[in-house]
Amino acid sequence: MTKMLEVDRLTKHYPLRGGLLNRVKGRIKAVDDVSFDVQEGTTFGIAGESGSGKSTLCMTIAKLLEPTSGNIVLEGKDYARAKGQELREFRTKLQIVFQNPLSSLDPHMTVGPIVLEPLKASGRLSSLDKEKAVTDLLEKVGLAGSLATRYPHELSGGQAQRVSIARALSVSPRLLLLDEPTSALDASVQAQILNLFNELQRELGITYLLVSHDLSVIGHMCDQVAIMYAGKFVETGSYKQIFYAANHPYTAALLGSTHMIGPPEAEERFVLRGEMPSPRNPPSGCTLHPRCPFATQVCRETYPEVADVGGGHLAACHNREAVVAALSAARG
Amino acid sequence: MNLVEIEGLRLSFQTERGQLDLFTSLNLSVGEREILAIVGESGSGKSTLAYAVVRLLPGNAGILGGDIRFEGKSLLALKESEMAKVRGKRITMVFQDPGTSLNPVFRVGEQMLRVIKNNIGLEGEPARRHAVQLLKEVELADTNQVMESFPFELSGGMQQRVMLAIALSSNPRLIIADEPTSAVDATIQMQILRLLQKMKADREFSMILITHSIAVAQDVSDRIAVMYAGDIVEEGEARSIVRSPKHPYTQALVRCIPQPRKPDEPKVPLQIVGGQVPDLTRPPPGCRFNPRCPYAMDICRREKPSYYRVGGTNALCFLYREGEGQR
Repeated sequence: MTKMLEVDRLTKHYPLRGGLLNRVKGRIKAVDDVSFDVQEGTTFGIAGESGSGKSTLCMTIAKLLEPTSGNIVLEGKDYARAKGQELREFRTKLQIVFQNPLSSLDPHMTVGPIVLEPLKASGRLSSLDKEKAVTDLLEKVGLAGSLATRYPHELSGGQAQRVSIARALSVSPRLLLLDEPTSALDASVQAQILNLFNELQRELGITYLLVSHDLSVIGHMCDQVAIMYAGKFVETGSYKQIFYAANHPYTAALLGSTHMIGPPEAEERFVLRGEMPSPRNPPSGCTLHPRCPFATQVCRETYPEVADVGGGHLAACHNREAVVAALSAARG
Repeated sequence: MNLVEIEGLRLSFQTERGQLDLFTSLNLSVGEREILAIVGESGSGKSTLAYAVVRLLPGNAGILGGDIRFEGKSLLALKESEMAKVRGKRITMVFQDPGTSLNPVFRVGEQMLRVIKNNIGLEGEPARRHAVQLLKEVELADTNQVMESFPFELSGGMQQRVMLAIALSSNPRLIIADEPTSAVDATIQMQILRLLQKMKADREFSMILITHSIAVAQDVSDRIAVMYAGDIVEEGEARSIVRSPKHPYTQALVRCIPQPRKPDEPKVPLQIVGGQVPDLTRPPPGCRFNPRCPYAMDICRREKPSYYRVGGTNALCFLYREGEGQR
């Protein structure tokens, strides 16, 4: 397998201004030193709650935000500081599907021009039979070609999301960023869209980076999973390692907070106290410590090193052994 | 006696495309100290049903028949002034987005004291003590600081706790919670759902929980009613409905929810139902689910089914009529 995307020590900080002269008083570390690889043709999931930085990470990788530092290597080429022609080339390789399909489609345009927009931006439109291109794209996402003359408000939520996917596919990207792509949809429509993503992956060999707060979606879709908290990846591994052998207390809490259908788990649900800290004034040491039942003195003082616990499974926790022991005891 | 009895409720909307008969003859009850979840997708009518109970329907909606009884008395027969004594007092509400339910220009304490004065006539120091007590009950730590805060200074989770405290202030018999945790994060959602269960155990109230998530409903409620296009298609004990759904729509709703794969399990497609929710200004004849139902029979396209009792739930489906093969 080859690496499609390599994100290396990516950081996005925002200046925190204040006072009489509006001087920079500090930094908000929205994305802090994040590294991971995505293999071609697989789905990499990023899970976290609001404020974890997962959307900022997504926007930074897509170059909709300028990274503060770090590298974004797509098919072997670093685009972190790409501009002009290079950036246009990057945008044909990487496209995004956003959460709310209706607000990401221009209400003044009909479906046909909407799905061709990325082709137009990349300068490849003139050589094409436009009508055929639109019909092909719409059929690829399971829509009738006749929808091309409709306006976004005439579409259902599921149809609108399919149009966003068709638009993203128009430039034949290698990587699709999916930012909460089904969070605004009803359960039955969500199922259709998730199935569509998996079909497209099988047919086109496309690679996905899927961001979601919903661990049932992540566990259904992903090969590799990262759990994000307060700007950092706290645990990364295969879906099997994350869902069946978690090493980090936050992963365990997130799993415990996900409503799963089916037989009740034997394990005691693990509920965190309190809420996500403010990024303006993060806690010392490990950012989870004020909420963590396993926290000890060292957690209040230093941020834990990322440790490889075997087979590429990475976790950042001082008290990993205690967490693993407690989880396996709870499983019985 | 049940706390709430809805019997033969007929409710229609006047729309540009003509009359929309949402409920044709709806029956539902809520027992004492019971959490009943109403589960359905957008447009199924779950919120309309809850708002009908407190008579907060939009102007184009009309109740054409049937009755809603609360503590044995008809709510539909009450004058608006009498209804105002029930609404917000005996029956209180918690809405989805606490940020828009709280008034942004008043401090939390002021808003609570106003509700307390209005609903139970308490003022001054006793009212303040009552408010602090309520905030403690919803597990807010620094109650004085919360009272002095403006809503925007609180997180979404804290705002929702304040809304719960306000809903509890009149010691209601029934709380209607409309998607109370849909706007907050997973770990906070779990905290709030646990809090709801604890409060229900401590106090004597019943709850109607409206949610789009059958998984949340299973976790919190005693009983689930599944709505589709204005019909309660299945109703019964929460765990039996989710573990062994009987109505084809409930089956579809449960099976289309993604789950983490088992270790080493390949990615298999989720089961989906084809088609779309019907336009209720022109409902399909017979069962409203028949155009999308994989098991639809001739009779389903002609006649409206009744409820058949099967394995702990009641299903509105001809499949469970005597002599039909069960699915």
